[in-house]
Amino acid sequence: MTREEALDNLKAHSAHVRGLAARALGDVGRRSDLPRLRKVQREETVTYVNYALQETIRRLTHEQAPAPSTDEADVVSDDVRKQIYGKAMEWITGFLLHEISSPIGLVRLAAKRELGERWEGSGTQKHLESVTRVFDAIEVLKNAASVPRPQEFDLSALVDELLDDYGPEIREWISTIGARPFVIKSDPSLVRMVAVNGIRNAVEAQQAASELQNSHAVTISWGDSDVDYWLAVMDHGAGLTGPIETAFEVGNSTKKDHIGFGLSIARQAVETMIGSLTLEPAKQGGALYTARWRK
Amino acid sequence: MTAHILVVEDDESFVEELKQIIADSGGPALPIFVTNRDDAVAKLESNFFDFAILDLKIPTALGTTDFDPEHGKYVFFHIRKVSPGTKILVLTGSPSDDFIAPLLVQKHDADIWSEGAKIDTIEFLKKIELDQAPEKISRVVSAIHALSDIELHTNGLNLSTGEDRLIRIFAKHFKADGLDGSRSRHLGAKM
Repeated sequence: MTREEALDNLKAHSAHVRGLAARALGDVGRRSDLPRLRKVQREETVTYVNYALQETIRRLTHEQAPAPSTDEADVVSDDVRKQIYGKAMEWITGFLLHEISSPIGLVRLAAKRELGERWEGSGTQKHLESVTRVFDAIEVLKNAASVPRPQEFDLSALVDELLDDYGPEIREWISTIGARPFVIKSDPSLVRMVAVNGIRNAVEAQQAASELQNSHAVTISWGDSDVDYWLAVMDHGAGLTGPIETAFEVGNSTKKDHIGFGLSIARQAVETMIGSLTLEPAKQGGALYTARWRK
Repeated sequence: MTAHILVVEDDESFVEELKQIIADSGGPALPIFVTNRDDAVAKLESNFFDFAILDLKIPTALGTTDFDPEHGKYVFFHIRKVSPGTKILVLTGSPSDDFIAPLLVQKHDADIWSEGAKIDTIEFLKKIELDQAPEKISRVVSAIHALSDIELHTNGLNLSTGEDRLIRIFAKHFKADGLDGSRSRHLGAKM
């Protein structure tokens, strides 16, 4: 679909055609299309088309103005770019795990032996355990970039399983909306990475909020369109401050004792499934975390 | 009872540490160190091993640089084929690597040395957690050393290490089950 056709199809009667056009503009659109896309998004009533428009607006907003290319073959689609990025991520995380973590293992062993009884509670132990936690996260990040292994499973059961990790005092202010069972064909370990992060962030944001919790303080919803699946987590916490995109970068966290890999892992997992992850202010305060990935 | 240990590791620093760990393991041990696939296979053909410590990313032969997890996997399956009772400790950078999955299929619980409790026949240890190796290795060496509790009268019969090990494990198993010694004596073991 050309840019002109996509812009034209945004007015189509069929939601399916509008959705395809919105997605295509993520690849072929220009920054100059943003005012028009924003206007269309404000008026769009079909949820998944609206999400696709949001994603396209996000992409075009954050896209650097490309340098003039002297080579026609230099044009790389966003999907291909994401795949290359995923491959690079898998390679570099694999390199770190195999080549860098081994000497750290030797350091841990030598430190424990040399410190003897002073190892427990020592600064050396504390800092080496931080390093180990980072490597655990790197391993998850590597898995998030690995080739998906799709299989049929019940997304609603997966959400329930993840919620089982929280006590009743937390569960009482989390509600779920979606079909049960909701059997999908995706990589369950990648979907788990996406869901676990969204739920954890929402629960922590809600816990940090001073106001009294109600039964819908955190809402987890899921569903599908004709082309993709989606999972959304909304909270009524303090919401987002500062530029949202930086929250997705590895190592960025505002929370104490967090190593800041969660959103990077979740975004990588959803991009491995050919999808997108967005974090945005919710309409009534708090944050809305939305993952969409291809069927 | 001496623990016969095969260590397949090409990294000199790890070899030095493993030597130290085995020496400090609290029981007699006879480790053989090799750095590559071909040497590991040759040792497995000619020696008995209770326990193998295996790095997966190794070269095919001494002096080559064709490091690949496939070569470690080859050694792994060779151990399973020629010596299925040998416990294996796999050292790895990342246990979730794709090449680990077929190895995990081989994993099961068994009371290898008649300790009265089942243990993993195959264990994985991330190299970043090498500080857990002393405990894991010491446990194996102690279990094998405990087979010395079984007194074996061979009456001049020249048993191989594997046969000796098998009779002691079998006898210890019956001892643990509380059976009287008469049955064991038929096997030539006196408890």
